[in-house]
Amino acid sequence: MDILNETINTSSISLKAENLRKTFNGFVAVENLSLEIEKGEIFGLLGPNGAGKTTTIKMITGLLNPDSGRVIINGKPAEREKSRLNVGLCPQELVLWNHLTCFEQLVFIAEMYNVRHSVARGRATELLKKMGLSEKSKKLVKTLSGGMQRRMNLLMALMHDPEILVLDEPEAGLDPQSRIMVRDFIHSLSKTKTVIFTTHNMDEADRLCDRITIMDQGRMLITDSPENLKRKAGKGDKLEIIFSGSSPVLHDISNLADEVELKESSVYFRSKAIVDKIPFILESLKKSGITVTGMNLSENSLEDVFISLTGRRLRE
Amino acid sequence: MRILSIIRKALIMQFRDYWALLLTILSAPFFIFIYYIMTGGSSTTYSVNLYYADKESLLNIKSELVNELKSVKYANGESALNVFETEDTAKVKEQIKNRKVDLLITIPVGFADSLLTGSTPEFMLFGEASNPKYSVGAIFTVTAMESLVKKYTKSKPLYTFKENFMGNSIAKSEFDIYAPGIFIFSIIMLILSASLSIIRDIEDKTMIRLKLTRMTVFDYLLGNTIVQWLVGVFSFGLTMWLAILLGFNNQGSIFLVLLVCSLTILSIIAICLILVSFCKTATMIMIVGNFPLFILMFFTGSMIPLPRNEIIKGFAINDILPPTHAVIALNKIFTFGASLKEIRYEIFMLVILTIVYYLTGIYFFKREHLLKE
Repeated sequence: MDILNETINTSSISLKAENLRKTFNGFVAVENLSLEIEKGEIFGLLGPNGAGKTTTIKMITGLLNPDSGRVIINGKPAEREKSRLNVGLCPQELVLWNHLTCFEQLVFIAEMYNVRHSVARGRATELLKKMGLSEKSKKLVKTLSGGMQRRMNLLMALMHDPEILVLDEPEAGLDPQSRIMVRDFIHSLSKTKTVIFTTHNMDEADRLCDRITIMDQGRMLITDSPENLKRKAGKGDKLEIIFSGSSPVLHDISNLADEVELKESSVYFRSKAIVDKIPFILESLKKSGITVTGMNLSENSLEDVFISLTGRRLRE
Repeated sequence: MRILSIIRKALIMQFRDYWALLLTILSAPFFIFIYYIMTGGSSTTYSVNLYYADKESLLNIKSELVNELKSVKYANGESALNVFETEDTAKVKEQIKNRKVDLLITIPVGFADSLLTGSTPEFMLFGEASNPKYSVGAIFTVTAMESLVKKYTKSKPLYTFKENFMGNSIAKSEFDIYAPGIFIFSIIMLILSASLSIIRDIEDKTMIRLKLTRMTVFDYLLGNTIVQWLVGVFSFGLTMWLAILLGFNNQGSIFLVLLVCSLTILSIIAICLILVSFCKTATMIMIVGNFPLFILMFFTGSMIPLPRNEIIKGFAINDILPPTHAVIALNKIFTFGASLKEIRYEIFMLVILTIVYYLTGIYFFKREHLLKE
């Protein structure tokens, strides 16, 4: 069968990666990675430095050839040039022409995708406005602030109106205001596009992503929605009970949660889905004659999940 | 459509990133101006100092000898020898070492008597053999001496000959002789602007974006080549215009000059492609780029005349450098008013070398910068 003319029947799947593997001089950067990303989904790739996120993105966008495995875009093998043209990439580093104005480079990159000049001009004006860069339209990119350049970097990926948008750490180096703007913008894109992005910002991923894959050392560790990840992985939610009077005996309460830590006037319980266990814990403490005066609950965060899966060891 | 966009983008960036452009287009006109000042725009003169020691003789021919030396002239009427009388030979010999004087002629005691008695007169020349101006100056000086000796001894010349200068070479000043090489130098300087314009897309990683688009290698290279061709033609035109303003004589067809210029520009851009293939940053271009720049400047005859040492019959090592043929073609056009037929070999070589360098450049450029990892 001619692989280039093969059409895979995956109507709701926007992008599929099958058993991707990539090595560099014997070093395995990505090993046996498979993904299925649905149309209109915001999909996050999380992982420590060197986990293989950027290599995965390069293989998805066609900048790198996998050693084995394949990428399927809208049901077509990505070796076909037309399939790749459905993808827009916002690379990790700023990739801009410093001696062109914002408007000029948006129009130029669109024309490289055969977008008509008049259409490119209209689209550039519209996108600059959406990203709050209209006033900088005629300024050379090199004169913009770092945050503005980041936003331009993102717009460059959109000028040919791709169906799939791949963003490699789009929020890196952005101030909180810009980050919110970019987050809202990415969220608005998900109505019409599939968005795949990598990030180190767990909060960002938690807020934005429909599903997340956590990678480490080139391998995919887990894929699920942020809620399910927090429920399934990590040490779980943390409950602090503040008491007065006599202290409980640790031995009596140690079976109430996965982790129990007793302090002078409080006790910490840690367990998955601990909210469901709160009545039982309170009842147990009451039976032991403990007077509860307060309670604090911290939910399991994505960062907790991430650290529990990838460990605390520095990678670079 | 895409090519037009690439041309527009390359032109805009070329003008906004103007330092390399200025260096490229102004170097050769500056050299033309410096050459003009150095040569005075006229023919070469040779500095001759005369020490006349035969002062006691009955026949004093000193002034006649000076006049004879001064009478050696070019076809345009300009004197070939700049004659000074001296009494301090030690000082003159020191000046010869410093190349402030080209040669010293000393007339010993008894020289005039020898002329009167018919015996062979003797005189001495001092000069530095490694100074190229000495040899020519010595020939002119001996010619003048022969004329004087024949006049007094009434001896018949051993032979007669008539010089026939080809083309309009007789009317050429030193400035005219060197200018065509500098015209080609104006194109060689493209090696900087052309390489830098391409390497920026590599260094700034904008090539990554371009690789994802519909842009082809052909689009990219043709668009950039057209812009650099325009820069090269402008640089060449500016250099030639300044030279003509300063008195440069052009005999030939402007169409042929443009043809040679265009082919040379394309060949230099092709060499740039090879250079860019092995560099990743503008700094590397500025360092590594000096190697081909100097080779093209010094081994093609554009800046200094070169000996021709054929390693196989009809082929010298510098024949693999396109500007070598361009310099020869321009000299033929400017000096002999050569037709297309008369420079067909040089045109043929320029075309062949341009194709070979371009194909090599495209191969390496694709391999190093455009293919997927």
